[in-house]
Amino acid sequence: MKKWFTPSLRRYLTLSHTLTVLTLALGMGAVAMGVVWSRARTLQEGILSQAESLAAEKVLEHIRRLEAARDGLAMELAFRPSFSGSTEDLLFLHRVLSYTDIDRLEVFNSRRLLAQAYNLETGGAAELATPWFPQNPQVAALLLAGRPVTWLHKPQRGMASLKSAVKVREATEEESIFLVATLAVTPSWLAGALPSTTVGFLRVGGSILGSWPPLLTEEQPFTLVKGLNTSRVVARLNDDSSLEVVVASGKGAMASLLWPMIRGGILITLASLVLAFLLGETLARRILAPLHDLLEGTAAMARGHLSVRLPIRRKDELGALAREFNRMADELRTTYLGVIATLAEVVEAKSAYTREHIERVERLTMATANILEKRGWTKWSSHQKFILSVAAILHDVGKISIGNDILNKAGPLTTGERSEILSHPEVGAKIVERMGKLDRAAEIIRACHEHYDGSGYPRGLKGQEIPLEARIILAVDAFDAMTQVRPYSKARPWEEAVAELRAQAGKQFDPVVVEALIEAASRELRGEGAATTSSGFYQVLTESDEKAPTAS
Amino acid sequence: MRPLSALVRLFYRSPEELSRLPLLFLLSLSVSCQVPTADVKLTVVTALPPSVAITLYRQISPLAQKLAKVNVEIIPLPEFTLKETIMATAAVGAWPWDLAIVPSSWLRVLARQQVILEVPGHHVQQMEEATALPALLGMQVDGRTMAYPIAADVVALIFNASLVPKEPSCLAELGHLSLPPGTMPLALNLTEYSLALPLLASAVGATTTLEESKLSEALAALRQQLSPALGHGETWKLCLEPQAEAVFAQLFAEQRLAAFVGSPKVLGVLAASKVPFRVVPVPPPCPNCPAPRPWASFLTAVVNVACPYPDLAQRVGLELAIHQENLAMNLAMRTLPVLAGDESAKLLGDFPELFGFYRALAAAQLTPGLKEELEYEKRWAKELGEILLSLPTTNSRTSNALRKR
Repeated sequence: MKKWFTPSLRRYLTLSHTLTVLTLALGMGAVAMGVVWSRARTLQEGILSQAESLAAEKVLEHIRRLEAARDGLAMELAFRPSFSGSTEDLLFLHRVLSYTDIDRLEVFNSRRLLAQAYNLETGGAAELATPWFPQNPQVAALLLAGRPVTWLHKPQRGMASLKSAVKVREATEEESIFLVATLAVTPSWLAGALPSTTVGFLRVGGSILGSWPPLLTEEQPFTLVKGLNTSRVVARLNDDSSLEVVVASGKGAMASLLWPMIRGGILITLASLVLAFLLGETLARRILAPLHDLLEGTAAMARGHLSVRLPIRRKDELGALAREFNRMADELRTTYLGVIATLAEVVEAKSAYTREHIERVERLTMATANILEKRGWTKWSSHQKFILSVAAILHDVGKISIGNDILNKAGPLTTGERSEILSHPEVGAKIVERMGKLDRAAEIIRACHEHYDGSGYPRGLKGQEIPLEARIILAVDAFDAMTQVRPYSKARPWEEAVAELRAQAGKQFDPVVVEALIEAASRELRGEGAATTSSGFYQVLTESDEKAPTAS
Repeated sequence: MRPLSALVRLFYRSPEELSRLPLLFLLSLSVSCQVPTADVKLTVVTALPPSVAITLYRQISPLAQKLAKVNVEIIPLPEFTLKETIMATAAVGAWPWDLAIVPSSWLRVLARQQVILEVPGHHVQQMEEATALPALLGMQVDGRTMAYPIAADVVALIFNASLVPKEPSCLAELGHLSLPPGTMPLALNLTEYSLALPLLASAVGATTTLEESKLSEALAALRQQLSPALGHGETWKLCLEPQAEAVFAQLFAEQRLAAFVGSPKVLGVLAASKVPFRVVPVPPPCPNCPAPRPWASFLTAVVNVACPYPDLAQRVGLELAIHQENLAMNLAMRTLPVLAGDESAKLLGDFPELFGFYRALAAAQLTPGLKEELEYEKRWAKELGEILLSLPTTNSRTSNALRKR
């Protein structure tokens, strides 16, 4: 996790890409939300309209029931020969009241209340009592004219009620009987007509009679339901008032409609962010891969890996940069190898046969290393191979310090001469060390004459203490010495040399290296892989005057 | 899955980086899956009058919001529809209601048809501490508590304190009062078998139930015992009127009636009338009769077995039974709160007339189940018909009273 937050060009590119996509997503989301909001509003308006129709129908149903009850009760009353307000009349009124679901019945003559009956639970409230005669002149006139009338009675305090009256009988003024049926107006009439996200109101002349569901606070009703609302006049009453149904979106209505869409939007945005992140990472990785290679190549070169070459992935500026790097690396390597070549030539100059020897040793060393790698004994990097090749070429560079007479002497060596010969690995190692970045090659050269059983020189190392490269070079050098004419010995037959190698396996030579060498030599003898086993450095070095290596 | 993983691998080859993907997706999902509970709804069905339904909403809605942030929908239905609907629940297996407010007499049928949930033990314990014991007993069916009590309803004798000087020891005693002309001494609704049957039992010396074989004998005894107070004709007719309680209240408010047997529903009308009145348990019909034990009924909250949020519904039921909401509900319904303790005592201080009803409740017996109720109703209707047919057409004293405006 910490690694991810480490500043890097790739992180910046990824972040930049992700942020761009986020900005785009948010922008598009804002536009989409605008569209969705508009659609949701239309949908909500549709819901409100439907709820309003249902609510209006429910309210109308109550008015119709009130008027139907009024007419039915009036007919009942009309059949009574007289109505004095006696207990029998009272009982009659209660009986007929029980047939209906209205709250209160009142019987008046032209002047006063004769009798009343009311539902104990709903009709007993004083504010439901009818003030006689109706204060509204229009209602009074219609009533006197024998027309059935319905009006709204809204006292100063308490519940409003719908009243519906009719003249039952007319004889003298005293004998005229009027029946008034009363139904308390309650917002619960709207129950069942409204979806849960809406609030319904009953309104008369701008004043709210109540809401369903009932509001739980004393706040003004519409402050709770700002936004969408719709209203419909359900009935125009005889007192010129209009009973309206108002249906409004509840506080969470739009939110509940929009939430699934918002949730979808969030999911899509997050999914696109994840995708953007993945794409950003991939693109950044691809864009920056050459830079990464360049960084690694430069670091490798700083560590002395002169054979570094960058892959040319693209044809753009970064591709050109990689090409230029390769060219620079080639130049450096050529210069470096030039120094090595010079040294090799100095060694060559000291004895005529040595040039071919160096060439063969380098080729067979690399072939043996490859066989070991194939058999799984070791794994060589290109740099290690380069170092091995340099060591193979310069393994005898220390012989510079040995006089030509000793070096080319055909007879046995004196103790002093021998001592001079034994010191040449150390001398060679020191020479190579001074060239810089070739410490490993120097180490190999220093151990090139160490024997597997510890009987070698200069330090008497044994077994695994001797670098593998040195063990290879020792065996290859010995094999080449046995199979070639030397000032002090004749060339021995191939089979005899092989037998000698095997005889010395575990003593002078590493047995594993011996077997790999024999295979490599056999292949060379059969002409297999001769062109590929050598690193080619030595040929390059020796032919550098005619054909310099190129970056491409 | 394979194409997806192939796609992912196309972009990402490092397993370390791949491991971030599930994290990001989990993060996305957790952010987007925080669903509000606005569409969760607690549906309450009731046969209560609209004004009470509004009070019920005002009590339950904040409760439900407080407990689980759910909306409440109250569906007021006519009693018959409610009964039919809830009974049909068992046959259908489901009905879109969560909580129903029903009379206690329905509990036996609902419990046996497995329509309602049993009240959890810890709720019963809480109710034992907070509600009146008779109320809790009324919630039991076969030893199991099946409902939350909300209100109690019982009849009591209400008398005009200025006309009746002391608490009558028996109903017959009211017939011997010296009353102003046109004032009836007593009225009681004999069509209510919850009152009539206990009175009949008392008339023949039984304390609780009346053997069916003794019904005719008891009726004759009761008629004789009540004749001083009810006379022989018009008042009897009044007492045999099904919707009589409202008439009684009106006559009482106009001081045309000295005493009547009524429920707490009349208290509003009486309080508005300014007539001084007292409430006492219904006395026996005669001096030697045992005290009658009218049937007390309860209004209860029951929870549907198919309710998707039984815990919430039961919690709401409990709150209605044991908290202050109970008082508000009962004031709106004009019934007796079942809540015991300080709040109840305070209520009695504000409305001392309720005390008489509580006394009546203590002396009452539980209403039998719906099935038994229906059987009594059928039998009693027959007996009442016979009484009506046997009544004389006139009676000097009560006729005069009835004719007075």
